[in-house]
Amino acid sequence: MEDLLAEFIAETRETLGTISGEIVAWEANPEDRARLDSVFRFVHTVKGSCGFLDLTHLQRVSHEAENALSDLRDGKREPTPGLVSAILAIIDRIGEMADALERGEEIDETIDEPLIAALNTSDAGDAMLPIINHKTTEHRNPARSIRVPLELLDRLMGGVSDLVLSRNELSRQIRRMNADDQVEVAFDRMSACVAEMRDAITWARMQRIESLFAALPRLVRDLSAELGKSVTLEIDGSDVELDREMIEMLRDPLTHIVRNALDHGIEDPLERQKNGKPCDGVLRISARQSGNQIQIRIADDGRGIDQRKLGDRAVENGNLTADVVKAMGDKELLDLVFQPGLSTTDTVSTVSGRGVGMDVVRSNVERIGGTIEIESVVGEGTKLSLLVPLTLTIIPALIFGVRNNRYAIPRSNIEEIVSLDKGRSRIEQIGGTEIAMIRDDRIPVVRLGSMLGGEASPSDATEYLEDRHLVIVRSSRRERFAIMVSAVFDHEELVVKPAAPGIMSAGIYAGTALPDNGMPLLLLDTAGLASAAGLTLLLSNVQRDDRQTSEEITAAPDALIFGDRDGCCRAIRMALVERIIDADVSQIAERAGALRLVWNNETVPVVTCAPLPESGTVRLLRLSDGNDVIAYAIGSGAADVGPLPEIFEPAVRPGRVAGVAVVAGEPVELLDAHYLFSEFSGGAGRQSNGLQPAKPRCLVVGGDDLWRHELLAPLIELAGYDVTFDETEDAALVIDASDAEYVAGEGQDNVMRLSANPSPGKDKFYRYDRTAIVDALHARLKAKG
Amino acid sequence: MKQLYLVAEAGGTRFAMPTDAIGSVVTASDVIPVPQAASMVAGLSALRSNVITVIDTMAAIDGRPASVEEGQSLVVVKVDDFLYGLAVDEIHDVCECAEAPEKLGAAFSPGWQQISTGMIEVEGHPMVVVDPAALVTSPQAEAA
Repeated sequence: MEDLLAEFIAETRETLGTISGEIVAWEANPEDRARLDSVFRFVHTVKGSCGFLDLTHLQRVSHEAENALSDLRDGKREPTPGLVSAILAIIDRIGEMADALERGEEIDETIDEPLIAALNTSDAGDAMLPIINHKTTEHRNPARSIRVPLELLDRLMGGVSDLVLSRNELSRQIRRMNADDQVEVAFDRMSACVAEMRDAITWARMQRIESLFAALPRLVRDLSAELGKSVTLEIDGSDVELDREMIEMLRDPLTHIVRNALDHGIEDPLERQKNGKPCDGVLRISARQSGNQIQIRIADDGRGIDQRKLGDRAVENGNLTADVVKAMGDKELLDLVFQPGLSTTDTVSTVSGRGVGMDVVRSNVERIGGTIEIESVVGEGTKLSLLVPLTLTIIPALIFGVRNNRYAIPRSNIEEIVSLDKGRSRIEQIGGTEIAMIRDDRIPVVRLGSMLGGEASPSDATEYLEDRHLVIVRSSRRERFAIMVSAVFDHEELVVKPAAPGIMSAGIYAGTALPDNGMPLLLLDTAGLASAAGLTLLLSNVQRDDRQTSEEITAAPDALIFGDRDGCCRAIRMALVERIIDADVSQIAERAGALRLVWNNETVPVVTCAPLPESGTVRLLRLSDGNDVIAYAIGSGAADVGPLPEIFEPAVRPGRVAGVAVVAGEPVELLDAHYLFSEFSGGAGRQSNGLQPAKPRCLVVGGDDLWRHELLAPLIELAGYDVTFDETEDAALVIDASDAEYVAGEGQDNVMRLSANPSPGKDKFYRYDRTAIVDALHARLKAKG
Repeated sequence: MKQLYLVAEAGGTRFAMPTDAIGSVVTASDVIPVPQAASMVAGLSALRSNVITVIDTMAAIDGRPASVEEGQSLVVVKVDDFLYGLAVDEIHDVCECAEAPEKLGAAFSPGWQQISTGMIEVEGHPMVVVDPAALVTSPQAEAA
């Protein structure tokens, strides 16, 4: 409401500014019809907005003026100077009242009575002009916001994107020329300005999600009336901000979901009463920001979705066989909602139709890089969660090579990259097509080389040499397939722009981008690729594959095994490795007391076990704990992914190495990631005091999954404890790794709280304060006996 | 009303293009191919910090496969907010013509018919006026 009021005030003031000229011209020539019309329109608009905003007094004043103007237009009254003055006085008064509203002052209503009276009596002549107190212009507040056309904002955004691209180009040139320090300093300053500008313009394009939600109360009211249902709408988080383009893209999916919820979800009052529910159904819509994503939840307390019924429908429609449906879990069955042509309603309705919808909603949400998930309990309701990025224009993508060309795929579409060299998969020819066997999964293969390259046939022997990696992707229509590519280059954040119609007509491209190397790049559309390759995938395959991969991941964590700079063979947990970087030594230097790598506008602390060479390139592992990033310099040889050895001999002293294991007859040292992050990621790290053998169980809850699995758990295990994440298990000690109070209550002896803040509050520990954590562990357990 | 035209040559034929549609003329370099695009699309190229779609002008006219060589001149035009580089063999001149283009007779081949708005006379020679917008969306190319 406050926003609407502010908008009204801004609009009124702005129009007053523009029509003040008209008013003067009209005063000079009251016969001028066009001028009269624009004055009338202004007063009419003000009246309308006032009615909407419940500003009764202002509405009355403008209504009187409108009446007089209307009479003038119809020729019922003559524009005598007295009447003109009276109308002008009212218009001035409207401006005054708008100012008073903005300042939150009381409006003195008594002034207006003589003004209104003057309107109605001034036909007689100019003798009765009331005296108006003209003090308006002196203390009118300067406007705190201006209204800008959207095109201008878009142009600005485009300009800034171009600026970023030119800066990248310049950075390349500078690096090539080995320019002196002063140039680099100047360039760095410019880079910072560009980044700042990009942030500012992104922010300027942000709109409150309120504008998306504003239409919902009316929609819900109309629909429930039509359907004979009674529904209360609860909206939460209207102040969350989102790119305005994103808001437009979400409008249709959201409307669709609300229609569905009202039509199919919420029961009519009679049925609700019969089931012991309150008469009024409740639809809750909430939005909140988490990181650079927005979560929107739509929950109803209706009848829920019957998973079994969905399964039966799928069998009836012939999408699935009965056996497959029988083998599916509840969650997979529920996901069938997103399949085209599936619905559990028995009747067709005018509101949301039947059978079409959720598949369209899902593909719309995924088109903008979002995800959608559904939860439902029969009889209790359905909850849909949408997760969408803040902006559309910048897409993280993987760049890869096919023969001599480069293409990109949005990272959100990629599931996994498998190298064919390592013997981890093989290709089989079945009925003229190719299927990749990866860990017992059968995944159809699309050879981009032959698809985009033209002449060579799939059986061409030379091609096997060229195509060395499988990128397993999942399209927005849930097809899962592998793209065979020659080389995988890099992850990059791309500013994606639409391609010309002549290119889009191919149906396999999503847009163009200019990456850091300055050569135009095509972004592939995975759904288009799948249909262009003629892939028709059985749903059952897709579903089964899902389950297998997820089991695979939980069964054995992978490790990256590599030759370190001092010649030793070392390993690190794969989940921590973000990517491998080949950086020029000149990019690494001693800055702020530590070795740091300058990489894409950020500085990353570098850990190395042997001195770096004077020149050339260094291979680095970029490690992330979900929050902080460090780079670990490794030898230039090959790095292999393998299963993490199960048995480790722990190291004698805590340090960079956590323990040693034997892999294929060779000793491999496992890096202690917790130690590395505590020592190098900027937090104040200290040496730990030795360990004590004991095997009590420790429950870890809250916090971010990656961190507690990959960093905290190894630390606790290393100290000789058992770690569990299962809250139903008994544990001697609970570690609450969430910054919030995941475990409620204070002063509980067996709860230990960790914080990401280096100066944690009372009763909390900084999560990289190794000594304190280990000491506290011992102290608490000792107290318990 | 006087109108400026850029006179260019492609495939041995001279033609004119209204200059108000033209942004600049650049030299083709690093044209990235776009497989499966419409046949007159020769690829993508970078112009300052923009991506331009390179069109083989002759391919758009007679439907042959597009090919653009390094060093060919690209006439950069903006159509529907997209930047295109129209590859031509040679740029001759800019000339002025007072008269509106005369409609083409039936004698012209269908390829030319589709992309031109008419004919003008420059220094005694008749010349086809090419419409860049028609050139980049030429249906002739798709049919071929």
